[in-house]
Amino acid sequence: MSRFFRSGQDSESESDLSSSSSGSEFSDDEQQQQQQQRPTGASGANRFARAAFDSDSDSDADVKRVVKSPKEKHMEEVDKLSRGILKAIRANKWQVASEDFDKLGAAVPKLVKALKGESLPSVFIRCLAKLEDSTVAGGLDKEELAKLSASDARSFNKLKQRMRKHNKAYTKQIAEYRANPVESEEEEEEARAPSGVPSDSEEEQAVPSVKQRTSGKSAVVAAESGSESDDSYWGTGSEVSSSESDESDDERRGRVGFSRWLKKEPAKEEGGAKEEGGAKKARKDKTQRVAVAAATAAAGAEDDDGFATVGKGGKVVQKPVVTAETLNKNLAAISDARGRKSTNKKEMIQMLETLLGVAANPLQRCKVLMALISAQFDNSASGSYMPLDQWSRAQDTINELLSTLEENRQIAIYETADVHEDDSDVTYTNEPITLRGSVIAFIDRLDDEFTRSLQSIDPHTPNYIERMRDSVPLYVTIVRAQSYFERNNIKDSLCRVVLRRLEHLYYRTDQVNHHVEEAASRLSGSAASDVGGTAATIQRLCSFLYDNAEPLLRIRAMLMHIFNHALHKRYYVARDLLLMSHIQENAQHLDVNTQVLYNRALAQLGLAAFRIGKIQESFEHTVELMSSGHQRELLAQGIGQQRTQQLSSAEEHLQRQRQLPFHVNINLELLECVFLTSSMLIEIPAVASANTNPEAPRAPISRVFRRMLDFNERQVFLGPPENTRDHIMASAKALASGDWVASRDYIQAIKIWSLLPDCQEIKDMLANKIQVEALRTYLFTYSTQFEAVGLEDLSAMFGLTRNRVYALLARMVYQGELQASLDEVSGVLAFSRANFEVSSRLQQTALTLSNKANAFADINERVFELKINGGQPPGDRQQGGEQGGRGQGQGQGDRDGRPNYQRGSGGGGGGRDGQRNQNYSRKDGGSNRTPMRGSRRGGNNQQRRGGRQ
Amino acid sequence: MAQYDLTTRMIPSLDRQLVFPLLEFLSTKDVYKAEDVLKAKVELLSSTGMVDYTGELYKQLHDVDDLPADFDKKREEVIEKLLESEMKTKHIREVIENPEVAGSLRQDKLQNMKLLHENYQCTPEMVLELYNYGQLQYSCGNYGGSADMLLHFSILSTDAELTLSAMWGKLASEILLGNWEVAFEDILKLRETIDKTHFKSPTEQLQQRMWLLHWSMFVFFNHPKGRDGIVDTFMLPQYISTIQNACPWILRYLVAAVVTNRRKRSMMQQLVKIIEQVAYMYRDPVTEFIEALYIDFDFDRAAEKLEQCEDVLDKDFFLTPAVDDFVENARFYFAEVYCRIHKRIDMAGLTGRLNMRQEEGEKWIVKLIRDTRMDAKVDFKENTIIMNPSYNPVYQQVIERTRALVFRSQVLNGAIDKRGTSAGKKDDQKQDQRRGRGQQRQGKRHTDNAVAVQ
Repeated sequence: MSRFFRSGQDSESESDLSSSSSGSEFSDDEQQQQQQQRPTGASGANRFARAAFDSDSDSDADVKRVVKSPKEKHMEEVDKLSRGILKAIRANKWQVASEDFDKLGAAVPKLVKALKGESLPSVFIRCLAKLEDSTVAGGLDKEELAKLSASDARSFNKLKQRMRKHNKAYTKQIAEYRANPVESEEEEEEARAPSGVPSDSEEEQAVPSVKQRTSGKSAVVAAESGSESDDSYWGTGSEVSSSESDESDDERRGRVGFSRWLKKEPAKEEGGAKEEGGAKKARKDKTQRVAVAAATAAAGAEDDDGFATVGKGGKVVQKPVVTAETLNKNLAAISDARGRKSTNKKEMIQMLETLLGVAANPLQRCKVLMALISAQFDNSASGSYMPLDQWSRAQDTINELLSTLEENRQIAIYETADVHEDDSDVTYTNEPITLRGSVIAFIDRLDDEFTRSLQSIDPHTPNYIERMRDSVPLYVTIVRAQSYFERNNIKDSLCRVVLRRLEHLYYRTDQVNHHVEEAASRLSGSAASDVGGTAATIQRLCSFLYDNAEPLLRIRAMLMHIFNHALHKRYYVARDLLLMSHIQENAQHLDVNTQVLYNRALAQLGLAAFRIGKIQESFEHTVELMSSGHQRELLAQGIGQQRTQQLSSAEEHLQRQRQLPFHVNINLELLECVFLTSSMLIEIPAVASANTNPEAPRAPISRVFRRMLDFNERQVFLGPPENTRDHIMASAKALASGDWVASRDYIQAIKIWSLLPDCQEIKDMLANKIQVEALRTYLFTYSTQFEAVGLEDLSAMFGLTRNRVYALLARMVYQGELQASLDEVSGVLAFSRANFEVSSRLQQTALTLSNKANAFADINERVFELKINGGQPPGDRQQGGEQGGRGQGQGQGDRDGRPNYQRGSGGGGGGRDGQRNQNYSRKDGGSNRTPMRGSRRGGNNQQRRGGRQ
Repeated sequence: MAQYDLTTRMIPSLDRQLVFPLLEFLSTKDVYKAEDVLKAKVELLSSTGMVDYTGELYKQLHDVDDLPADFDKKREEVIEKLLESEMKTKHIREVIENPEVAGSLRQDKLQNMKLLHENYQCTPEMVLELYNYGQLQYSCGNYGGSADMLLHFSILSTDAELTLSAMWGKLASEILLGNWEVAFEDILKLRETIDKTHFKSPTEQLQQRMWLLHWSMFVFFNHPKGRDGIVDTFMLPQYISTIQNACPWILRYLVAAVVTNRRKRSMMQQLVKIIEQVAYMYRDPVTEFIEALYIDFDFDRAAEKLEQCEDVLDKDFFLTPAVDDFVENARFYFAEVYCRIHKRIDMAGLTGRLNMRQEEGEKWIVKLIRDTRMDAKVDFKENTIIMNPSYNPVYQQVIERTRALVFRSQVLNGAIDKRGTSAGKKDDQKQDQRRGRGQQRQGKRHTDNAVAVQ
């Protein structure tokens, strides 16, 4: 009821403002009343009557009471209610709308009776249509719904359900109305005029409503932006009142102050606050008065927002008188109330904002700002991310705190400082002082909320890009915080903030970072803080963390550094950093997020190795990740399908929280492409060699690739390649048959290479590799068919120079991959006779049998070991010892499943990496054979487990 | 050739006085300007106690006859200090040099200290003075004295850090004295100590190892058994990783050591891997030779690098004496790889690549074939070498593979038997059965052995 009154009054006074002459004094009265006494239902009704009367007298000179027929009376009621509903819809006051709708439901049957077959008033139909539009047809999306207060939301849902049923009876009319909405309105006016039933309220309300619909842009805005525009409306109202009551030169200042406060523009606010602070002693009483007014206004606004509370409990929010002197007390009260169930968070924020307005000096400002920031963060609903406007408000407040701290260097905020419980803040005279608080916590929260919002926004919408724009101001805030910590030498926080800063930098290339830094320095208004480019910045930040931070942060910094080096193709630097840091040895003991970072660094390292043509290394770095089948989870870039086990909702929630925002992601398709291409270059010659040479290892090097190839070969019908994978498979087949041109063309046709910065270079490199591997494959495959091959022919066939062919053959011969030898005089490669003998079926079988017998003996030994160890599988140490005893690693390779691959190919990087790594770890007495591979596997396993738990 | 000179890189890891021979060597080789080297020498010695010698060099450098006044002053100071130290250590030196005392000393350092303290009134301070005196003597170039003092100190002192330091001092003294035999032992001792000691940070340990690598080269390239020693030490995993991490230039010496030491040929494969890994941070003609030969199989480049190697080695303090040896052995490796890959070799081409004259080359090759018992023949008419690459026939392969099986089964069998008897003693019946089976096996084993021998 009162609600209705209020909204009615809104439009009324709006009309006052627009036609300022007619009812300014009345509006004034209204406002005064509004401020002095809380409008309760009864008084509201009274006043409505009076208002109606007033406006009546305004519009019509001859006051004349007309006796109304029941029909008219009902008509009037329905009309009034309908209009009320319309207005409520516009203002998003669903509770009111719902209440009115109930009444309407009761009034309409009466009217129908009275009308006796006449058509229903068009306003009613319009109202129904409007209701239907805004409820059933989904006028509000979820986000907007979330903004509504609880009671409004409930009413909204109730209305929605009822509308469906209710409107069936009026389908025809509504459809008619829909056909020509404007006309009906005009008709309504026309129809009313000749009907000769002048209804006061009708006249008076129809005018503004029409105005609103047709011309009033402002009205639409007001309706849409809901409570905020309400605020501003109230603000101007109170402003007028205060200025009138003061009638002093204070007036202007006060107005500035309020509008400032209402619009929430911190820059102006700051200025105003300073002004107030400076002028404080001189005009103390006046300030006080303004403060009272402000508080009242605030209370009014609060009331407006938290209307439900007032209505229900009849509780009236107190109007504390806020001044600089009592600021501490108020602050304490607020911080006491924080976290309690009954506390209205919005009220708290408004209260604090008021307090900020009266803060007399930097010290008080700092205190209020800190409380305000916490309150702003408290206000966001848990579960989803912080609404964007709230976020930017919080960011502004943090910036303000930082600039206050920058301007007042004597104030420092420490986490460990004593609580400052002094009431003499007002007389604070710039002596050094420490406050208790945690700036880093604010920064952390701000950054986390930013990430969270990016996690939930769909990255393929403009919203995401919009959101990304905030990253630069955020970066600026972080840099400012860093300089604050540096100034006050707060080590712990400094490390954390530096890490945050790194997190914003490490995944981007220098170029992008350069732009970010530039934008940042432009934004912060200072000259570019970093000399020597962003690579140097990252280097500097990392070395700072290496020296100062605790181990976990150090590891994170190191991983980011590795990632960044790898991103810039500095493969060796990145790899050495990884190996020397021994991270891979304790990767499984790290927390999940760091493990994700570790996996990312490895993946990036694989890409870097690929880019400089280190195929073998690239394969080694990526194989664990890619063959796990969980690369999405391992890189925290989405939740893969869970075939085997179902995640509980809590687990899934945790996993979602871990997801990295889209722009940070490593392109999985590119990673797969790189992995498969390197697999192809390694696997195809190996397969060919295994087919002809019984010595060669048969176990697949890359199971994933083999599986795909087998699958591809089983297909009955194969179309031309479409996606990346198809291309690689087609290329692999061409390579296997020695057709290097086709193989190269397939590989080079893959579009995703263009994502790599040095695309052409990489294609050339791949072409070269394909030539070499095709040659090798060809020789492996057809060695049994040839007695000798001419070097010139090979050189011509594979487009390689003679010297290159020569070197390749020499290498293969030397390493025993090919049983052949070169004839220098006639320039041919002569295959040895032993080869032909081997090709005899019986002999091959005999060799295989002997191999199997060896494997059998191995298994026997292992079984026995298992037995004497009491069911425990033999540990690493024992393996090592036993291997030593048995001589040159007989069982070693078999256990790995790929013996010669590591031992035989001297050029292969697998052995090298392992070897190198072994060396590093030996230094600390580790005896693991290939710790890197082993522990990486361990790390991933752990991660996988972590991911599922 | 200055680009391949490693002196500047090695100086940080060497003692001042150890650098001196290096500079001395450089001044004979015209790698740098004579004046620069001289200046470096003066700089080097200015903080040591060898005032007289420094003075002489100073005169030479600045071409003057008189020395600045502070030289005299410094000289007096040094002498004064020496005398003072000598006085202080007189008592303890007498005590230690007494054979009776030396005989009664044991392993336990604390016990020794107690003994000395009780019987001969030696305090820990006096022991410390020994260290100082040794250091002072070393600084003045009296290496014999310093070696003795530091030896005494390292025996008596209980301070691990100072003991280590004394050991370094002693090693330096021995090196400068040229006592290679003693120095060799010292190095092994130091290596052990460094591996055992628990250092505060890995960096410190790394640095100690780096020093050891550099210092030990003085010994290894002079001691008769040094070339084995250097390979054995440097190829230890911890030292390989030190080389990779901190001082890749040591690889040159390692390569030289492996190449000149044909008995360590098996190390080559490992060495090639290391060279390949480190190639991105360090390369010089010596490593490039190996790279060309074993990784790229580019024989022309390898031959070219071999020529460069001669020059580089000649200008290297440690490797000068080994130049001829190196070239000779490098050729051998070259020929070995070449022969292994080829079936028919043009002799002129090979000798040309090996940088030899035709006739000389032919002789060399024939000698090589004879020495290594290669299955090769020279065809003088065609002027080629024909290799007979021998591949194992399949029969041989099958025999080789299955041979080990017998032995392995025996071992397993024996192990099961042993376990069976120890576990099942209580069960008489089973034991009897086993004994019976064991006897059967006994017989079988004899026959197996016979087969294996055949």
